[in-house]
Amino acid sequence: MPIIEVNELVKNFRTFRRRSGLWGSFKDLVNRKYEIVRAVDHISFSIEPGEVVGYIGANGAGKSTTIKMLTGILVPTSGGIRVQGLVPYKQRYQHVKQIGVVFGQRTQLWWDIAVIEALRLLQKIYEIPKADFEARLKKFEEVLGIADLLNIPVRKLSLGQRMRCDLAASLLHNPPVLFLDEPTIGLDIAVKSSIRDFIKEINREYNTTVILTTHDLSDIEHLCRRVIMIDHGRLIYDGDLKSLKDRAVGRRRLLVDFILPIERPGLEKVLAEYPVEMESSNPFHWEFIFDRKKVAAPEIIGQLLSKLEVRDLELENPKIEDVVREIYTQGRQVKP
Amino acid sequence: MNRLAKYWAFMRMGYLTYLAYRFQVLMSFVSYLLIIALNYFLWKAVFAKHQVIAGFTMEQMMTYVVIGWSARTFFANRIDRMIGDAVRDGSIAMDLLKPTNFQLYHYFRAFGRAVFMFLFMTLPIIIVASMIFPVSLPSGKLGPYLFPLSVILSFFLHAGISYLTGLVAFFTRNNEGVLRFKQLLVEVFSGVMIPITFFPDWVQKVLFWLPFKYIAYAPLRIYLGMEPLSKVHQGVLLQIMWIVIIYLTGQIVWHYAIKRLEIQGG
Amino acid sequence: MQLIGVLFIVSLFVKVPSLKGWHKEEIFFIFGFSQVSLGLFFTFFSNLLELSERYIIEGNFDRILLRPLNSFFQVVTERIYWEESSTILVGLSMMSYALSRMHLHLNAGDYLVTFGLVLAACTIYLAIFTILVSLTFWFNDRGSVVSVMLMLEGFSRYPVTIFNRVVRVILTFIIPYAFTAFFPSMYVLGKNKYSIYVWMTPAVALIFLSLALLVWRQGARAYESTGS
Repeated sequence: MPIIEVNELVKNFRTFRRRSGLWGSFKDLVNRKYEIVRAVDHISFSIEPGEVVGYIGANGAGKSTTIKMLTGILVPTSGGIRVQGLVPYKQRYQHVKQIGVVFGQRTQLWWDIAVIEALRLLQKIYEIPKADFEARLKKFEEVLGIADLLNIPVRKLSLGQRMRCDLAASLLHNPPVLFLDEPTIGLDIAVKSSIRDFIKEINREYNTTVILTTHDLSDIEHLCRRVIMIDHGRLIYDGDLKSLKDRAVGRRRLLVDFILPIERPGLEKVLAEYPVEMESSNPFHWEFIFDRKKVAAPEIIGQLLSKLEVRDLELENPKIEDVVREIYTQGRQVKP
Repeated sequence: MNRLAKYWAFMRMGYLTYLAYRFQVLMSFVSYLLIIALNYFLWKAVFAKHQVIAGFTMEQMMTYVVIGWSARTFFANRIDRMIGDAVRDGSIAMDLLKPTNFQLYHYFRAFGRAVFMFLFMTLPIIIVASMIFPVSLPSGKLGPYLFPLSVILSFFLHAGISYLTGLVAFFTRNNEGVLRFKQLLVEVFSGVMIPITFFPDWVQKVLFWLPFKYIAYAPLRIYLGMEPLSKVHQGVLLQIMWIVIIYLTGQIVWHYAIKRLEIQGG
Repeated sequence: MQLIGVLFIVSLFVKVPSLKGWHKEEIFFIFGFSQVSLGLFFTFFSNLLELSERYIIEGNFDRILLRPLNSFFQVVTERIYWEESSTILVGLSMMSYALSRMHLHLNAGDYLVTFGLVLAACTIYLAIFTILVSLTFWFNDRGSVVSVMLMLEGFSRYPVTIFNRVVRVILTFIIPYAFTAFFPSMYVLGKNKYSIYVWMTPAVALIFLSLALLVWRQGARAYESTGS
C-alpha cells in the first residue's frame, strides 16, 4: 500500500496586482485586482514505503508548493493528498508528528538558543521518550559529527553545520516519511556528500521514505532511483532516473581551454567529421555542443587532444533546466 | 502531563532567547528609567498647584507611573511582530510543521520572555526607581495579593490582542499598519501613558466596552487600593472574561487564517 | 509612534490648565517645535540610524568607501524617509494651533528666523545621533544606545524649567536637547530672559556638528584599518 498518495492536486495562488501611480494606489485600496496563478496543476503520483524519490523541476516549477501541501502547511485548491492515511492540512497535528521536514533555506531550530536546547525543546514538542531521545542524539552526534556544535547558538553556525543540525532535528522523532526541500543548497562538496550518506543510511536502517527536491542532479544521482519531474506545475515525467537521462539529455556541452589561441576555421577543420556546434567567448576558450546519440564525448576529446594542445577540459553535467528543456522540446509527456 | 511539559519548554525557550541579548536589555532598562524620570518631573510640575487631579494625588500618581511602566516590561510582548515577520519571510512554515497549538505556542513563548523580563527588568526597575522616586507599597486589603494575579492576567490579555493582530498578516501579508494601530491603542488606552480618568467622559465610556483598560489601568487601581472590594473582584473577572473571549476568537480566526496562507517559493 | 507623545500632552491638558507656570499654548508650541525639527531629522537623515545594521553588519559600508565621496554625506543622503514627514505635519499643526490661540502675529522676518532656528535644531539632532551612531565603528552594538537617546528625546519636548538642576545642566551643555525645541521656541514666545540661549542655538548646532564629523571621521578610519 502506498505511503503517499497524491490525486489530481491543484494549487492556485492569488497575486495582487498593484497599479502604478498615486491614483493607481488609490484604486488598489478600493478595488483590488487579483490574478490567479496556478502553481500546481493536476498532479498525481503515489509513493511506496521505503522509496527515495527525487522531485525535480526548474525554478518556480511548483516543487516547493507541492512539498508544502504534502507537509500540511498549504491547503490545496483541489485534489486529494494522503500521507500515511492522513489528510495533511486537515489532520495537521497527527500528520506533522509522523513526518520529518528539512527546508534548505530555513531552519526549524531557534535562532538565539543553543542547538542542544532546541533539540530538547523538540523532544518535548514531539513527546519523545527520554531514552529514545538520548539514543538517537548519540547516533546523530556520531554520524553527522555534530557533537561539538551542540552548545553553540544556531545563529552562529555555518550553513553546513546548521544543515547537519537541522537534519538531526528533523529525525529525532524517527518519522516514517522525510521531506527534504533543497537540503544541499549552498553547501560545499564535503558536507553535501556527508549529508547524502546520512540520508542513505537512514533510509536503509529505518526504511524511511524520502522525498527530495533539489536543483542539483548529482544529489538525485546519488540517492534516488525514481524521479518525478514537474514543469509549470504539471507532471512531465515519473519513472526511472536512468531512462529519463537517456531519453532526455541528448545534448551535452564540452568546455575546453587551449594553450594557444585558435579561430573557428581552424577548429572546423579539426572537427570536420564530427557533428558539433561551437561557441566561444575568446580564442583560448571554446565550448562544444553535441548530441550524444550522434557522437560520443570520448571521440571528440580524443580528436582534440591528438590535434591541438589542450590546457584543460570539462564535460558539463546536464542541469535540471537542460533536462526540462529537452523534454519540452521533444514535445511529449514521457511515461515509463 | 506531556502537554504541560511542552508549554513549559516553550517558556524556557522564550526565557533563554533573551539571555542572548543582555546588552539590549540593559539599554532598555536605562530607557525605562528615563521615561519614569521624565514622567516624574512632568507630574511634579502638574501637581505644583493642585492637590488632586482626575482622582489622583501626587503620591498615587508617582506610584502609578513607576509601577505602571515597570509592569509594562512584564506584560509587553512581540507576538504580533513575530507572526508578521514569520509570514512575510516564510519561516511560518517551520512553525506550522510543529505539532502544537500555534496560539498557545506564542502565548507561552512570550510568557517565558515575560519571566525573563520580570527578573531582569521589572524587579530591578522597581527597586532602582523606588530608591530615586517616591513610591508607595500596595495598599488596601487586597492590593498585595490580587495585584500580582491581575498583572499576570494582563499579560495573557495583551498576548491575546497581539496574537489577533499578528494573525492579520495571514490575510494582508503585511500587518505593519494594523500592528502600529494596535500599539497605539494599547499605549494610549491601557492606562500606562496616562490614567484613563484624564480622558473626556465619552472616551471613558467607550473604553468601558473595550479590553484595553484591563491591561494596566485596572491592575494599577488595585495596587493603589483605589477600588472597593466588589469592584476589585469585578475587574479581575472582566480580565478573565476578555482573555477567554480573545482566546476563542483567536482559535476561530486561525481556522480561516491557515487557509489563506500563501508562501512564496518554488 | 510620535503620536503617543502628542496624545499624552493633549490628554494631560484636558484636566490640567498649566504646567509650572507654562500655559497649554506655550507647551504646545514647544512640543510642536520639537516635532518639526525631529521630523525633519527623521525624514532626511534617519538613514544614519541604519549604520550598524545595514552598513556595517550587512557590509554595505565597503561599497560606500569605494566611492570618491565623503562617507558621512553618502550614508546620510542615501535614502529619504518620506513616511516620517507626518511628524513634521503634526508638529506644524501644534505650532499653528498655539500661535492662533495666543494671537501672536509674526512678520516675515520672524518666520525666517524661526525657520533658521528649526534648521539649527535639526542639525543638533543630526550631530547627537551622528556621534552615537559612530560608536558602532568601534563597538559591536546593534544600535541600542540609539534607542536610549531616542527615549531621552522626550526631554526635549518640555520646558527645561520643570526639571531639576542636574538634568537642566545635562540638557543644556552635555546632550544639548534643550536647544532642539525649548530655547529656540523662546524667540517666538518672547521670553526675553532666554534670548541669549536663542542666539546660542546656531552656534551650538555648528559646534556639535563639527564635533560629530570629527568623531565620524575617526570612526570611519578605525573601520578602514580593522575592516570589521
